Amino acid sequence: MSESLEGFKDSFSYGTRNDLSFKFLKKLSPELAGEAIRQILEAIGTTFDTGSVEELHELVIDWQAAAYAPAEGAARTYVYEDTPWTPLAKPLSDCRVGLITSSGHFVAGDDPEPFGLLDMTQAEAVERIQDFMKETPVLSAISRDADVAELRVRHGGYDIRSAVVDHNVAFPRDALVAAAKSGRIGSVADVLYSFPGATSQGRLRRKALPGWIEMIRSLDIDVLILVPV
Amino acid sequence: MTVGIYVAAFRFVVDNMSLPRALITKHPFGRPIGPANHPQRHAAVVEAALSLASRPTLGPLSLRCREPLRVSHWAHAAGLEDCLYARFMPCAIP
Repeated sequence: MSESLEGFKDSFSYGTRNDLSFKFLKKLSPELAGEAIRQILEAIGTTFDTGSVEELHELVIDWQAAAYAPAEGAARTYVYEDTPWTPLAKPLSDCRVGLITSSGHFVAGDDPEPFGLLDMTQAEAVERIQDFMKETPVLSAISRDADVAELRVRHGGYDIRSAVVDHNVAFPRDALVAAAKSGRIGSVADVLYSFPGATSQGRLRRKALPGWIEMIRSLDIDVLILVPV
Repeated sequence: MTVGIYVAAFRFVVDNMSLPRALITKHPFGRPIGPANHPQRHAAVVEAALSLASRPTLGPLSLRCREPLRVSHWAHAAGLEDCLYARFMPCAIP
């Protein structure tokens, strides 16, 4: 059976060719997706001569950004006219820095057990992405000093291959610890936090965030690094 | 006080929400801090984010992913003299 270009490009987004690095193709029109694929293939050809993949990477990133950018005239969501602003009250070298990411990291033995399931695999999380999008997220606490071998990641909304190899691609604990060792910052918080960002945004705001904010405010953190993934 | 690190695909969210202290990294989805096993890149991204805490800009700060790393401002920061980008390779401010 033949497949349309639309069917082909959509198959990368939780379809038969699921690849979360390229799920953005579904957001493009068939014409634009075809152009994106043409450009990417052309850039691949160029790498044979240049030996450099940087232009190829930038091309993919540019198309990803273009796919997620709202259409002109589309209704904008989560628009705020004012900007919360807190000046830094002391030098960064005296500051305690915290971290919260939506990368879906947690520590072995402290699985957030989505839907009551222990040891859900990444494949299962991808399969149940629609269920995750209706859920209230669970915030996982990760000791600053947790052994890297104990770190886990699971998130049905993005390609976690890189995060599995190196947690720092989305959970930059090591860089923060190094910044504290060098004196750039005063210290890193004892506990860092992560949750799977593929979740109900409404439940996140209404049910989860108020408690999280109260908890984080009690932690004597001067600067909080946020990393949405 | 918060500082956010966002991949380029999330730029529109930063704009919609008028988020202060936003660092945009030209990295793919899922790798906002950089590629795996590249501690120098991770350190540079975290440093750029930390610098926003003490030296804020008007509008988000953008960090491209190519070496040498370059930083560009979408809007000049008022009173900025030894700009953040001077810590990286020289670049042209748009």
